[in-house]
Amino acid sequence: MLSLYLRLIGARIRSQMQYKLSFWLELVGFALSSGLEFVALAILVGTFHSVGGWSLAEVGVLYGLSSISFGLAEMVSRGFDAPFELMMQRGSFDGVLTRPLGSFFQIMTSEFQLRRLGRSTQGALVFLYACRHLAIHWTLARLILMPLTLLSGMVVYMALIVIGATICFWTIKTPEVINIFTFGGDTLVSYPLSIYNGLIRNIFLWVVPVGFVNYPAALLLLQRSDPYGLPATAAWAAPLVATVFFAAAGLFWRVGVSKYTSTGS
Amino acid sequence: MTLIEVEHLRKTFLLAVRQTGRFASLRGLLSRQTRPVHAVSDVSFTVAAGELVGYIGPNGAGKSTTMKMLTGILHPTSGRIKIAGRVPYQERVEHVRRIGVVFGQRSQLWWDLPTIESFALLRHIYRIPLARWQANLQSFSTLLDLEPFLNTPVRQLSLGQRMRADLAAALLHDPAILFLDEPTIGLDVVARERIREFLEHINRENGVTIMLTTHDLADIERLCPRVVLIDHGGVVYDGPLATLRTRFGRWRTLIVDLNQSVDHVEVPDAELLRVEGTRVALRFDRDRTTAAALIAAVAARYPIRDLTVEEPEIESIIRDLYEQPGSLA
Ligand SMILES: Nc1ncnc2c1ncn2[C@@H]1O[C@H](COP(=O)(O)OP(=O)(O)OP(=O)(O)O)[C@@H](O)[C@H]1O
Ligand SMILES: [Mg+2]
Repeated sequence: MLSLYLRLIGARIRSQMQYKLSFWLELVGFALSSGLEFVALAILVGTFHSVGGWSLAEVGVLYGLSSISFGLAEMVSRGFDAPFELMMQRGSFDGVLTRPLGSFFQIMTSEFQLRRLGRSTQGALVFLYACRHLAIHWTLARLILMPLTLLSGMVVYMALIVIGATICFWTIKTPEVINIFTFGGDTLVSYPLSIYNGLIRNIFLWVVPVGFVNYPAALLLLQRSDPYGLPATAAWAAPLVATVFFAAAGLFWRVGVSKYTSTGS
Repeated sequence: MTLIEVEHLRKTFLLAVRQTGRFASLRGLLSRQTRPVHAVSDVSFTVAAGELVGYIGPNGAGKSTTMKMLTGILHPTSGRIKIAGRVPYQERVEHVRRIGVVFGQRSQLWWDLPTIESFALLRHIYRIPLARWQANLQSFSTLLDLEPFLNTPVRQLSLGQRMRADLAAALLHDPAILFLDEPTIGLDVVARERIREFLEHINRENGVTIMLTTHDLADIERLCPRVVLIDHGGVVYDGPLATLRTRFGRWRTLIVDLNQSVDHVEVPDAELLRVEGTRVALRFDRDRTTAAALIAAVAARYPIRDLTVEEPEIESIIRDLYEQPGSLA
């Protein structure tokens, strides 16, 4: 399965590389545009010196973790975005269902946007820069936690993208509302969760667990405590939360596929 | 051996009714008013291994919808489908591994990749043994003349080339059954003939069972010993093409050569089609009169020198059937 994944992705990348210049321009474009997001964030935090008691560098840790994960998720699951929407409108999802592979796998391999690494790279720069400022005490456990956190974050964002796409089975178009959770979620968790009211906190931790992308891990790294009592050790639960959420998205996808109606002709 | 079994198949689409008036889109979100469209209302048939069946009917009869249920794309609303012992929509992956599908309207190949690369990806997707894949590719290249455009990206292929590539792609994994929805749509006469020859070949030589829809009756006459004719989502005829002719071909044409030229010919129970000098063509309904009675009636008024009775073309039979839906019942 992995070798087939690589093969199909390879085919995608080869056809994108027919347009090399546009590839590089877009890569830089994504890095710059998400860089601007951070500049906006920095100006905001800089104006008030801190948000909810978190300094700019500490916010940088939050921002960095979320951006890296989000960029990775976008890189691997953009097939669920515009190309999938187009498939639904044209009825070409028919072709997917006549192939002896899972439909989820096929949509995922229908697109691969290396250029989305622009966002991740920029997030990684912010993260490293923030870490240098903060004199974080790196233990082995904490080092291990990092890739786990990023992977979990990526999985949470992927699940969100999948949920958005699944709604297409009923509406044909991806409703804009899903952007509240992907792009909106990314922006929202760039600030410490503790500044939001109880309802929003709970939604973004336990319903749409975008909060798990970075908040508990940052608590642990920065040795802070959550005013509402979320233990920093929750950081280790992120992989579990992400898996459960992703499984739920997968289940939703299956229901969607069974409702697929194709198009006339 | 029965390969395809379909019993009381039914597919109803629920179309959202567009709301009008004030706050239409908002109300559309809140209440989902729907209107049922019975695309397939009651279809039953069986297909034995090795058959080549034409699935025909007028626009909107439900042909494509049936094909989509047979290929596991759509879940039926009710009814039963069993193909090679499997229920397509329940065991989709296993089912599609054993079938080939071509939709004339759209390609299944990778748009940006050279044709040969699409074939190569299919080898991995279907896990076709290399030797088998090479042998098939070799054979299809010859039969369909794929060589000239194997390295051309699919998006640059002409319609005829693309259709040939799609056919080859659907058969590389040696499927037992091939489903074709309008495989000759939009092609010129030569390209159509080439595809017919190819289908005939893989049906005869490779034993592939084929089910195809088409609006080109020449496809049917040339390829399909058996036709299933549907209309308004139900089967109206299932049997040999020849029987369709005798059963529905009520119209005959009597052509007589008279001794002298005439302007007009008037006989009961017949309709004058044309007069060309001494040659007169009359159309009559086999159910209302016989050729003998008509000939006698003509001979009584005009001296006849020669005559022929023409059987109807299959094309005109089908045209009549499509144009008068009532005549199908
Ligand atoms: N995805 C769909 N959603 C809603 N209605 C549909 C859908 N697909 C088909 N229909 C309707 O079902 C009926 C049968 O359509 P179908 O495409 O099966 O006909 P067909 O026999 O293939 O016609 P044609 O010869 O024009 O291709 C039509 O009335 C069509 O409008
Ligand atoms: Mg059709």
